Amino acid sequence: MTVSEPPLLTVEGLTTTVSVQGRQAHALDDVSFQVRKGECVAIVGESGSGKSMTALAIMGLLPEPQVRATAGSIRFDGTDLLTLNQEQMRAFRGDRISMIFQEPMTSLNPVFTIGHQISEPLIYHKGLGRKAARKKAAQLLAQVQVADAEHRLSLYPHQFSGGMRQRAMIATGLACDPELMIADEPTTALDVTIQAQILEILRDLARGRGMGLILITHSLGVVARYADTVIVMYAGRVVESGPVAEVFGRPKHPYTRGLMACVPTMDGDLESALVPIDGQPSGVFDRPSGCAFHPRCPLAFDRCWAETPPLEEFRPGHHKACWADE
Amino acid sequence: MLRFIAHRSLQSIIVLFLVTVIVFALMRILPGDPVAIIAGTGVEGLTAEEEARLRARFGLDQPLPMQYLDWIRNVLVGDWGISTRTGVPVWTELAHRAPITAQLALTAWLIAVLVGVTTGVAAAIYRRTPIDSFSTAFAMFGISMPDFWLGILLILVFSVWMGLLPSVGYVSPATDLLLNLKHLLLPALALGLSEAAVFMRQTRSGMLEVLGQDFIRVARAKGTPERVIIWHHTLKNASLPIVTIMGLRFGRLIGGTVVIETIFGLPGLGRLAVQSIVMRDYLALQGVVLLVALFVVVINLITDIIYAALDPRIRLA
Repeated sequence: MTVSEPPLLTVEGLTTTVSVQGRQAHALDDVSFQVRKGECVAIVGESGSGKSMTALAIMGLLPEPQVRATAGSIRFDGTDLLTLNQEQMRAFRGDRISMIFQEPMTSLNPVFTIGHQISEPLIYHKGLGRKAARKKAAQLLAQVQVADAEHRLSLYPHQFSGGMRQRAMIATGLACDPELMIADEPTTALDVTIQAQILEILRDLARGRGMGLILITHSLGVVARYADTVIVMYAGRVVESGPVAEVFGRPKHPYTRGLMACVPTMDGDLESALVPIDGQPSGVFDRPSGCAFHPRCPLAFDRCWAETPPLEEFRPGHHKACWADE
Repeated sequence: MLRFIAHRSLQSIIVLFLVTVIVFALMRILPGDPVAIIAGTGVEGLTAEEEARLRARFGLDQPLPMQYLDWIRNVLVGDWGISTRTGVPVWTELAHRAPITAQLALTAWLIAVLVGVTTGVAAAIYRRTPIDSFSTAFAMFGISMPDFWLGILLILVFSVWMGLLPSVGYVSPATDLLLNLKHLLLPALALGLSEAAVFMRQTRSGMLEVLGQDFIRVARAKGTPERVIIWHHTLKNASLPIVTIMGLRFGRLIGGTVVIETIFGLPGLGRLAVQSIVMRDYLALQGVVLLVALFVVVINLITDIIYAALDPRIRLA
């Protein structure tokens, strides 16, 4: 990972608008970040902070017309994905950019064999015949450490465990050797031991292939262990971003600090209790003025509810969007 | 799979047995018997001895359980008895008429499936657009309109006003296939369109449910062409309840032929059933009902087998 190389993905000023029964609001507001080859970028935040929506926007899978990207750009290898129509976008999906979803139990089609489902991207994008695709599928399944892969291709999803299903999903995502993979909470539904295995497979494959990886998670432990860069989102905006060591070492935004204070540590002092962040995150339609975090922020002052703080680089690579402590 | 089929076949035999008991009993509950009808329609009234002789000939002097057992025993060896109305073996009569009803029912069913599934899929894809509203309105119309009324309307429009298609009668496909289809089109439409409405509603709701599933979003994320997503990924999942409904409605569709064949003057099983009831032609009606029941049971068996073929969770359970 060299800084001089142009980034694989550059999201700039991405804004999505939600329209429900005549009301409109920005679900994502001015989201910007970059992903380089072989880099693992983690996006963290509470439910509803816009993590998954960012992923869906990159994939061109926003639930239109209720949610639309209304501003900004998503540049992938020189192309602004937001300017593509569905058919042009389809050529990218599953081929150069792939995505793994949160819920492995419902992500596989119950009436098709695992082999068929892994083969599909190869058939649509690489023009492989069924036989060749199946052969490749067996290799892919073996790569994500499913034993007896050849035989298991003929099985149906209901004969697979959750962990095996998620491996099958990863194998599908890897089928066309994508340059970018988005994993939306890929291990939330799995056992802790399986979680570690899946994440290790993902990280090793990303590094080995020079594939960019966007890992969406709400677990800071996962971020610390697997990611190179972290993006902290709150209420549809990026509030802090930077290299993992830097952000974890010197968290600047009160929200990031709050998140870290509510993670239990094994070596931590038993006396120091976990500190939850007070209050509830706001909904899309009732976002507070100024900095959306101000009602829950211990450092908030006048300016915070008057003006929205921009995301600014205050140390090399380390960005924050906060008025406090300038 | 073989065990599954064997199990379902056994159930089917029980169903058929119950059907024979019910139709036998229902016919006997009706007032009058074939001999009384014959005696009533004859030019000269029959004497009491002649009536008794006729009853003996048809086996009607036997106690009811004996009559039933006789009938079943004969049917099992292929003797479906003699029609008291025509004097022709019931089996010959059935063999003549069954193909007509079968052709009518299958054509109607094909229309129902084609129209119902395509409009249902279209309504689901173009949800909340004029296409959806139109299809839903069509379905409401189809479900609300009785077959016979639709049949009369079709005759009025296509035969009387436009003079495009014949209104009554039947031509064997062996004689003239085109003319045969012309005769069948209107009755098949009358019968099929209301079924199409039922299939359309089932298809629409099934498709909408499946389109909202996670694995459809995954299919899109794989770059699956939209055409494959609709007709392959979604319809195959949605087809399980559709196929069930298709099997179940087939019985109703055959029931509908009774009225439709009468309106359009088609000499099928439905007409035979009506004539047999009027003439208290016990054996003929029992034959019709048993044959139709057999047909429906086989269709349902096929439905179950298709169902298992479509859904691996059933097949391997």
